[in-house]
Amino acid sequence: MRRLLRFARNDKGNNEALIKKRNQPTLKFRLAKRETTNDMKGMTIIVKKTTQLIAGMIFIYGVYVIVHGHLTPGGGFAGGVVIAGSLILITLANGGDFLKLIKEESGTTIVESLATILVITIAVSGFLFGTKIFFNNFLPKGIVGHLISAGVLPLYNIFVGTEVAASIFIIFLSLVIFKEESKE
Amino acid sequence: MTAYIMCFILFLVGLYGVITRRNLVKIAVSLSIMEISTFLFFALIGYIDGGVAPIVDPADPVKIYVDPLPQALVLTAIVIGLATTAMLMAVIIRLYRKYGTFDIREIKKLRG
Amino acid sequence: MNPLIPLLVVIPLAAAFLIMIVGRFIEEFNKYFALLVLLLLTFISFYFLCTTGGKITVYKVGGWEPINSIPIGIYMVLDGFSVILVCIINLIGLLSAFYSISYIRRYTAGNYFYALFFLLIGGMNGVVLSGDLFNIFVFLEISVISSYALVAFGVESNELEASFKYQVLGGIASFLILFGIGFIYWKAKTLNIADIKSAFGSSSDKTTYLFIQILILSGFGLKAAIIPFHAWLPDAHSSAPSPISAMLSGVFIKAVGIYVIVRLFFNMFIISEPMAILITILGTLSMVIGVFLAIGQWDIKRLLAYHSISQMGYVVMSVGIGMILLSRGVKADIASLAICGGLFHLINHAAFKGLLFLNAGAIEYTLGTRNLKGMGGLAKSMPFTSATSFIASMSISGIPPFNGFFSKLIIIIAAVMAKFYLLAILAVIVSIITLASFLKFQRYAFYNKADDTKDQNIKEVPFPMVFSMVILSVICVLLSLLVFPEIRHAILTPAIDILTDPAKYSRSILVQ
Repeated sequence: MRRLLRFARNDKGNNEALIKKRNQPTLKFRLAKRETTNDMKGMTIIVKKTTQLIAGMIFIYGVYVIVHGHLTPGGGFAGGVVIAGSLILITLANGGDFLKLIKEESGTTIVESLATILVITIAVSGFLFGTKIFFNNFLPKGIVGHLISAGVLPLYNIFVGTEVAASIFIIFLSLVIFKEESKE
Repeated sequence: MTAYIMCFILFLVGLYGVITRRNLVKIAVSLSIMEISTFLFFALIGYIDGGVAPIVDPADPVKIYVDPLPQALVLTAIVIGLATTAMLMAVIIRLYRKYGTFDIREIKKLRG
Repeated sequence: MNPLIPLLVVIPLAAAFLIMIVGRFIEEFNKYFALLVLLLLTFISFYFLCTTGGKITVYKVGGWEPINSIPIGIYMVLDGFSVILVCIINLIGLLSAFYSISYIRRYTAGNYFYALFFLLIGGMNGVVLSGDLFNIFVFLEISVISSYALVAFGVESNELEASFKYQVLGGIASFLILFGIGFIYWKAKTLNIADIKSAFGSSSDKTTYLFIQILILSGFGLKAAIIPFHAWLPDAHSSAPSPISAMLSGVFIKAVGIYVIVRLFFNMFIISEPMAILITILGTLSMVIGVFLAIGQWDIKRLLAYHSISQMGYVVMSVGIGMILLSRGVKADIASLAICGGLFHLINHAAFKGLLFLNAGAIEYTLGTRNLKGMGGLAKSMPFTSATSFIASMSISGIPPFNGFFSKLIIIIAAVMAKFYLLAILAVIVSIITLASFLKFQRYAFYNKADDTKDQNIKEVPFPMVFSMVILSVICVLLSLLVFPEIRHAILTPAIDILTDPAKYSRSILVQ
């Protein structure tokens, strides 16, 4: 069975695909030269500069909603959606060609899976430290109303927020990649 | 009482959309509207007369709060609704590539 | 507070995401890791089977103890009925994963397949082990969304259309379930199953109670494919890849459909006669209409999917007979016999329907077609497949000494002893028609004369597929030993006791 290793860009600037069969050397296939289509080309320079200003502020707001999840309404999920919104905004405004989107997607998948495994690790670590109960809140709980309090809850919020942001970004990216690769 | 009737009307609108619309994307959106009516119903259940939002303020601790449990349930259910809608949209886009149309009357290869 | 109980849910979820990370770097990691994890889960579930007698184990997640004897935490409950289903889920999952080692070569995204498979198993374990109503909903949604993606796995036009139909109907079902949970919370102010029973005992609002019961029955009945709600099952189960069809039809419609209906109607609601009669009528209709729709099918997997509807009708009908007798308050031993027959048929159906779907997958793997008219003469060239298929067909038709015979016998005897003669006659007629349908399947697929116009290099399927099928057929034969009283008392009687005793479940949980 042949297996697709990766896409790459060779010296002449064309896209190529590397395909490997078991016990045989790697083959390189050159993909057809694509005329840049109208979709996923970047927008005009006014939109690009405006989003560069605003996306940073949206990101900081999302982080605020996540970290204060035990004091104000919000928490992991809502903050994660806001962060994903800022990432989607940057991708829409700057466009992106095929290879860059694929690299972003594989990196984001690893971030998402890692964040979920960390959530499960914190839940299981109630077994090891403190009392032997699953999902227990075992770090010291501080004073009500302070930022660093409520035991293990802010950690949960942070990891869940990261995971939700990565998931929604991946949904967006995979739909765009599907549209791109079916145009060839 | 009128709030509950609003929930019921939203549910009927969603059900009408799922049954009678021919476009695939409209069916997906109507399904989403049906689920939203359930979230509204859940949030209305937990209301206690004279209660305020359940956020603990250290300066003024003694109050009557509304029931926070249905609000947590609605948050979880919204996430689940998002996942369902995303899954449906992905399948719809791939269906469009295969059949070339969004019309549900054309997509009937499986019969019997 | 046994610490192994939440591990049955956490291990599949962690394994799914671990496969997504490590599977990108190491090539053959996903298959063998999946096998190891499923082997571990099967060991844990069989350990529970041997040590849980009649006692109910409760795990309070997070360590929240009851205040004023009102339970405020999330409970995970393991009793005699749950442990049977946990064993079925993990064992058939292990055999399907072993089968898919060589079946998955047709697809290129092996990582995603195993990740979704583990989410399916983790979700089903969560549904079966939870003692809390909203927890059932959350884990139900996890496993159902994974099954939507798995049905559409090889993205051809048939599979996408089947997945779309499945998703719309499944979305309506989830909405109905959520609506029912909302009503229950409104009336009972709590979400713990054991606590709702004591809260509903003193209520007298008959109309709301009936409305809630009908909502829950419709929602979960759509997941279990009882007869007015069966429209998604033939398309979805025939278009999925074969190990997933075996999991869906053999385990999924039981764990998230029949299990929840039986648990909620026996342990949470107070049994009333109109609902019991309604459940029995729905079961009988499923049994009869399913088998009549299955006669004219020429596609192997659609035939097997329609027979799934019919066999689930058997289980629901016998559970309904038990409910009718319990609601009248007479003849508790005949009610126990009917429920025993239903549960026994549930276990048997998982074994032989899984085996039949794996056989259909093996035939499709070698020949590339699913149409019965285009096959013939496979008995010589595929000996293992034809032998195991013969055993499975005889089991589902109810031929002694295989396991289907004993479970159908118990159901028919219970129906006769309870004086429901019409149901017993219908059960016998449906069994005879099932036998006719499977004899057609055997003849056209295996024992016909082969056309000489085909090329003759049909050989047996690879070793992992053969191994799974042989193990399942051995289990099919061994399960007929469950009818003996000693083994039955060890496995089935604890489950029946919890279901037929109205107060035992809630009393045991609220005390701990």
